[in-house]
Amino acid sequence: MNPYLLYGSLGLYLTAGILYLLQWVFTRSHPGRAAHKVTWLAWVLQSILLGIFFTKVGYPFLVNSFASYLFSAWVAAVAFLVIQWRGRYPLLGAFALPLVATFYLLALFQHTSYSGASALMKNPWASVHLVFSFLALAIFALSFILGIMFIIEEFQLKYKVLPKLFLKMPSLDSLERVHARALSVGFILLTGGIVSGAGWAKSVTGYYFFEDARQLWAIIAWLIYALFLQSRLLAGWRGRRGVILSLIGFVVVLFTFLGVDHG
Amino acid sequence: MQLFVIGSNHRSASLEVRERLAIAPERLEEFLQTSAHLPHVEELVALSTCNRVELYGASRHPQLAAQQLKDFLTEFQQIPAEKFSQHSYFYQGEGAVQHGFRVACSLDSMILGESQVLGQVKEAYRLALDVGCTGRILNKYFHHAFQTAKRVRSETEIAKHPVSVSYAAAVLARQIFGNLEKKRALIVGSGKINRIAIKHLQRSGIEKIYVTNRTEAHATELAHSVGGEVIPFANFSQWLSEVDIVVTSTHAPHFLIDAPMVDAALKRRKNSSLFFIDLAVPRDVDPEVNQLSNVFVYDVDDLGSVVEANKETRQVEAKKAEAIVGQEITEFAKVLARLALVPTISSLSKKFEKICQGEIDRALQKLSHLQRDDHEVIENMASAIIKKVLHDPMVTLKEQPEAGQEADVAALVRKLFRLDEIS
Repeated sequence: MNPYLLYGSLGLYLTAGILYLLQWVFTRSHPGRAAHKVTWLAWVLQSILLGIFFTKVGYPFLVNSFASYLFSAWVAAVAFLVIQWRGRYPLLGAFALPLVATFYLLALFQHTSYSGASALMKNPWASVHLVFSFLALAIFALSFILGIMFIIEEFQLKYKVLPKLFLKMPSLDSLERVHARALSVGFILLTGGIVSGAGWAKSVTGYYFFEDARQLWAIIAWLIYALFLQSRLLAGWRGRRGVILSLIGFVVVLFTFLGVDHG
Repeated sequence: MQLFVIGSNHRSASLEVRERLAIAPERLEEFLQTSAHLPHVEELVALSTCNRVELYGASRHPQLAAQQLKDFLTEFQQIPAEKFSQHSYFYQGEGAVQHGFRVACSLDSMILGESQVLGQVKEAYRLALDVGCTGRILNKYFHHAFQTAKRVRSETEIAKHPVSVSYAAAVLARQIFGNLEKKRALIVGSGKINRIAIKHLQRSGIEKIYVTNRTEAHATELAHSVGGEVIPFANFSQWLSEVDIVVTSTHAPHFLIDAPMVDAALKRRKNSSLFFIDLAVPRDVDPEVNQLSNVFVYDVDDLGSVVEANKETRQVEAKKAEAIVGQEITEFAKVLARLALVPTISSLSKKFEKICQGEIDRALQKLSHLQRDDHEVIENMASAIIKKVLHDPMVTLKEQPEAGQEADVAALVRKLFRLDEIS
């Protein structure tokens, strides 16, 4: 893996995050415009990096946790750029780019090779499962950030702690909507991850489920998100209560990924 | 020619004086047409709003022109001359430039950063332009003032943070809902403050306004004037599930809206956000209501503290704006300096053209054997020599001389070439 591309793109993501933060604090548009360009540049570098890496290792692409987290970082950056393009949420950058950087750090320090179980990895279900799972992780992480932003803004509006910054926040309703939309996408991906995981288990062990903490956590997370989406739609669980539920869901997702070893 | 301004504003004169000084809009044109004939007034723009009456002019003798305008204005408005003199100010040169720029940028306004004044200045200038009272100096001056105001607006936040209670409420509504285009508001009470709140909500694009009042006739009257719909006061709480924003301002001695009432409405509206703007004293909305989730209640004090904080922000931004005005004054001084040399430049080139033409005519008379084509060659040569000789001095004159020295430079050039003798 090319260290220049790797650390270069990480540095640029962090720089962009700091620039967005500066824009937020000093309410000037210049750092924001620069941040947008820097994000794009970082994303292009990372895409080249992943392109080279995947061409080299070939199928199945996500051969270790390093590649997987880097893939999540890339997806989170894409999702961030899409949201920016759709609705201009400059403040989101101050939160989302540090998240992308966190995925980098996970990739660098949580280094688990999948090669020990190469027979397992050759199974076609494996790569489908990994792609779904890490896509879901990136999207959930982003919606987690949107949820945190919602909680902060709701608190500010409700208790009238109105700093000058609040005018730079997207409106409360739109934050809630984008958060729920991101969660619905994440939910579909998680469903795909669980189903393909079960398929993988079936083809390897002959059972859809076996005693594995990761499977259990994933199903708990799935149930929490299902509850969130269903109650939002039917019972009108909008606002803080719903968002808090989804934040709990993300903590469970983190258990699924970090709490257990990718053996 | 120098720029000057004479006038009276909310700082120099009381409302009583300003009322008498203000020129009625339908008489402004007449005022301009008549005062344009005053001997020393060469250019004129008249600005008359409820906070200020100001006359911007250009003249070779600004003080005399100002005196004439002062006399004319007091006579036109039929007020004693001393009444105006005591409460007026006069600026000329750079002071006048600074004053006008500050007015256009709303740095001289009663409410710092308010947006109306720029429109009023533009209108005053347009009228003077139509009447034909403006000239080179005021045209350049007002365009530069508009440009400065635009810069201040885009580079500072002086106009961004609302400083009136009802506008602050509308901004908060946008912060909660985003776009108000599909939102509906219920107005409880028909007082003046509600009327202002409706205006701000409508400017933000609210879809529908419902009005209710204990005395239905008042509600009908208000609803009619704002294009809203009246609903019966007896069961207005039923409508809490239909609207997104509730503005209340009644004289009721007790709470009109309490937590159980809103809780019931929330169930019907599937918990979508509800924003209460309580402008009444004593309050109409029980503060307990704010404890419900997805409900935001702002009373007069809450909005008042938002406004106070914003006023402070505007003070800070005003400092940045003053710095921009300072830069633009320097820029405009250069523009004026160039402008002051224009007559000198044009008489210089006229004089040389005249000499050139005279010499050509004389030479051609002596060279009578020449053909038509040869005449052209000689004419072209002569004008090329003149152009080349004049090129460097012209460029030097057009490049801005140091501000304040343009008069000396012009005088020197005029003396050197005896320009005043031919014109």
